[in-house]
This record gives sequence, structure tokens and C-alpha cells, in this order.
Amino acid sequence: MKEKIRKHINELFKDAPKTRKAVELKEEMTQNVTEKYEDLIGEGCREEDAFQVAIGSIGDVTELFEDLKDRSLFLLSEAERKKKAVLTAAAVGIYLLAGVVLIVCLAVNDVYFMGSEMGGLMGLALTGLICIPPTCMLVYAANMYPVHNKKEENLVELYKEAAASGNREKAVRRSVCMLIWLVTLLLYFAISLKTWRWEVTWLVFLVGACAQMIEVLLYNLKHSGS
Amino acid sequence: MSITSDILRGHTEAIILSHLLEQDSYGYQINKDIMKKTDNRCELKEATLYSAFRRLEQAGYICTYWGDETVGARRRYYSITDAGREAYQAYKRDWEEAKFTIDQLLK
Repeated sequence: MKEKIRKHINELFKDAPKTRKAVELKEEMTQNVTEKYEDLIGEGCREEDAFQVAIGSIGDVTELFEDLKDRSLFLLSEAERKKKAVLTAAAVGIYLLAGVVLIVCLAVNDVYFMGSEMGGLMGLALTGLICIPPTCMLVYAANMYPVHNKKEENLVELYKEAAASGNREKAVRRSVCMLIWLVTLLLYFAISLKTWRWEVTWLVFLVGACAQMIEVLLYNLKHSGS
Repeated sequence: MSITSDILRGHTEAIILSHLLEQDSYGYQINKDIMKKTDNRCELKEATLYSAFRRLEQAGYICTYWGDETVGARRRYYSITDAGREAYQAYKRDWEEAKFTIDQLLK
């Protein structure tokens, strides 16, 4: 008869979300209904009557299912939203700073060094360098997804967590990619301004593309290995 | 009768807190106590009980732990927190006030 109670409750929970909370609730409910059943038997009820009364005391469980769901899936938490806002604001600030640095550098170069090639190059390089961190920050912020907390430890949740960590990996990869192209651009201008051989220096971009392919290759190799 | 059950349903949380004030307890035990106190007139449905437990848990008024029964399924015990005690006292004051007002109005 206890098995019958378990089966009945399993049936009631058929459409419940498959989370640890649901499993716990089921266990709790089974325990309580079983105890009630045993008490009724102790009072002299017939088995079938006791079963019906015990089952009848459960009520409508579907209203409980909503609580068992994990609602935070597509929402950034308050802290993460704040972090994202701060990252974005800081990135924009640094870009503005980079612009100011460029103008100041060029002006200083013009006035004090009579527009020397070396001075212009330094200014440009400095600006490019300053642009790297905010770019990485923006790319990371754009790819930030909620990282799942470990409250639910069943397969579905493990999958969600894997997906969330996949997103983080994606964010890192995009940052690396942006970094490669920024460095390439920087090198292009640096070499070009130094040598003034613009007809050849564009080849740097091919090198950049190669670097990116190597990155993709390394990533794939790492993943096929694991 | 329907007034009674409606009012009771609205006070499920407070009734649970009141039971936990004395000692930790689990779902069926609480329900049994309720039946005993009301001479079997009133019994909560399991589903009502659990949704109240979840709400109380989320509010931080109760916390839960599994019993260490060695035979059969484990019981899930609930215990009231300090915040729960405060909430209960506030609730009790509100209820006394409401009761007083309704008594005044229904004379």
C-alpha cells in the first residue's frame, strides 16, 4: 500500500519541473501522507479507506509547481546588472580619454617637435594601447550571462551551468579576438609610419588573420582533446 | 462555514508560525496538531501547507532540515527563525486589532 501511495504522488508530480526542489517536495509529501495513512490504519480503518482519505488530503499540487521552477534563467541579477553598467561606463570613459590623449599628443608633437614622425607614432601607439582595455571590457559585458548558482543539482541544472560557463568562455574568446585585431591595427600604423611604405605594410592584416586562425585552431584542439 | 475556511486559509502562515514557536515540527505533525486543537473541524490540505512553507521559507521566517529517521522516508522539519518570531508577533497584533474592529462592527 505504501508503494501505491508513492506511485500516486509520482503521478501527481508528473508535470512538475524536474528540479531538486521538486524531488524534495515529493519526498516530504510522501512521508507525510504515509504517516497519515499509518495513523488511520492504527485507528482501525480499512486499508482502502485509509488510502483514499490520505490521498484526499493532498489537494491541488499544480499550484506548487510554479515555486519549483528556476526563474532566474534569463535575467541578470542586480549585482551583475550593476557590474555591466559600470563596465560599460568605464569603457566609454577610457575611449574619451584615448581621444583626448591622441589630440594632445599630436598637438604637442606639432608645436614642440615640428610634427616629427617619431612623435606622431608614439601618440598613435599610446592611443591604441589605451583603447585595448575598454574594448575588452565592452565585449565581455556584452557577453555576460547569468552564471548559475549551484542550488539545483540535477542534470538539467548541470546543463544550464555548462551553458552559462560556455557563454563566459565565448566572452573571453571574443575579447581575445578583438585584442588580436587591435594589436594588428596598431602594428600596421606603427610600421607604416616608421617605414612609410604603405604599399607593403597592409600585409600586417594578413598576419592578423593568421593569428586569429591560430587562435581558433588552438581552441578547437583544446576542446577536441577534452 | 465558508467564512471560517476562507479566513483560516488567509492565516495559514501565521498558524504554522504559531505551531513552530513551541518546537520544531514537520508537515503532518503540524496538521495533526491543528486537527486536535479544533476537534477535527479543520484540516489543511497538503498543497496549502507546502505553499505556505515555501512562502515562509522565502521570507526567511522559517528554515528547514531533514530528520535522521533510519526507517522509512525522512521527515522534513521546520524551525522558526528570529525574523519569524518578530513577524509572528506583528501578525498577532494586527489580528487582535482586526478582531476587535470586526467585533465592533458586527454588533
